[in-house]
Amino acid sequence: MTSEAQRIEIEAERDVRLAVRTAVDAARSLGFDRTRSLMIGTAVSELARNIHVHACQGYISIETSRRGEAIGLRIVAQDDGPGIEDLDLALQDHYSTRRSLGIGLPGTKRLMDEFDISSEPGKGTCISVSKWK
Amino acid sequence: MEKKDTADLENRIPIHEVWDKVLMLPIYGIVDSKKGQDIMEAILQKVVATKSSVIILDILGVATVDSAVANHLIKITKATRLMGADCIISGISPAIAQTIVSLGIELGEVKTNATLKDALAAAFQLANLKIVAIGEG
Repeated sequence: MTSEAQRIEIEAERDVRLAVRTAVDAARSLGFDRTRSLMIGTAVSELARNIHVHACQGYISIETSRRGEAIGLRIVAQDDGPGIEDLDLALQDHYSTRRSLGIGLPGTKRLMDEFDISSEPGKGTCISVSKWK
Repeated sequence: MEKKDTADLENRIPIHEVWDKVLMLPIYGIVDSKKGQDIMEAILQKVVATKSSVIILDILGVATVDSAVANHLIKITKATRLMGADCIISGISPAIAQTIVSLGIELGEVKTNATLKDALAAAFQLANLKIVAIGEG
């Protein structure tokens, strides 16, 4: 069960900033502590930056999610970019196609409690992550 | 034109000369690729202009340290080292420290301190300076 999704279109670097701020605010108002809110914000930063750098266009949606008694924050990053050829490789530490640190995706997985990725070359990528309180 | 660009950069990224050969730059807000590049440029120019041997980057005011921001910080540290200046990163809050560890960023040989106070003490030591209390107490 989910409610009140906020959707941020990612087209420019300022949209990355907006997505991070929105996620941190949403986490804080749900009652996540400072550290875990920062972890969520950092994960959103990685996801939004990936959209900006690799796909140019896409969106981040942020919503409260509930599972039984548990409450958490669910973030979906969807783009219609080039997609990822080899998901296993992309999820390995220190693998990068752009001379970055290559820890964005595996790091995001470590920052969050749940991580799902689906990608089709030429069609786009969808990543869904959640963190539970 | 080049002179105007330099002055513009100094206005956007003001770097303090806290002591002879010791520089300090507080970084605030979000570090995007443009800002990361500007910081690198401003620091290297200031290191040359002041013949500094130590520079402190205080990141207490940085909103998030994701892998791209960390990459900028690591590159800045490497570049200053190539120019013969040590770089210390201070203002690592407990939340930032835990996030960096979870994310899996390896800072390697980058010198870090929790507080600006600790970083200043380390910087003075690197610059062969000593702070001495005057008189008793």
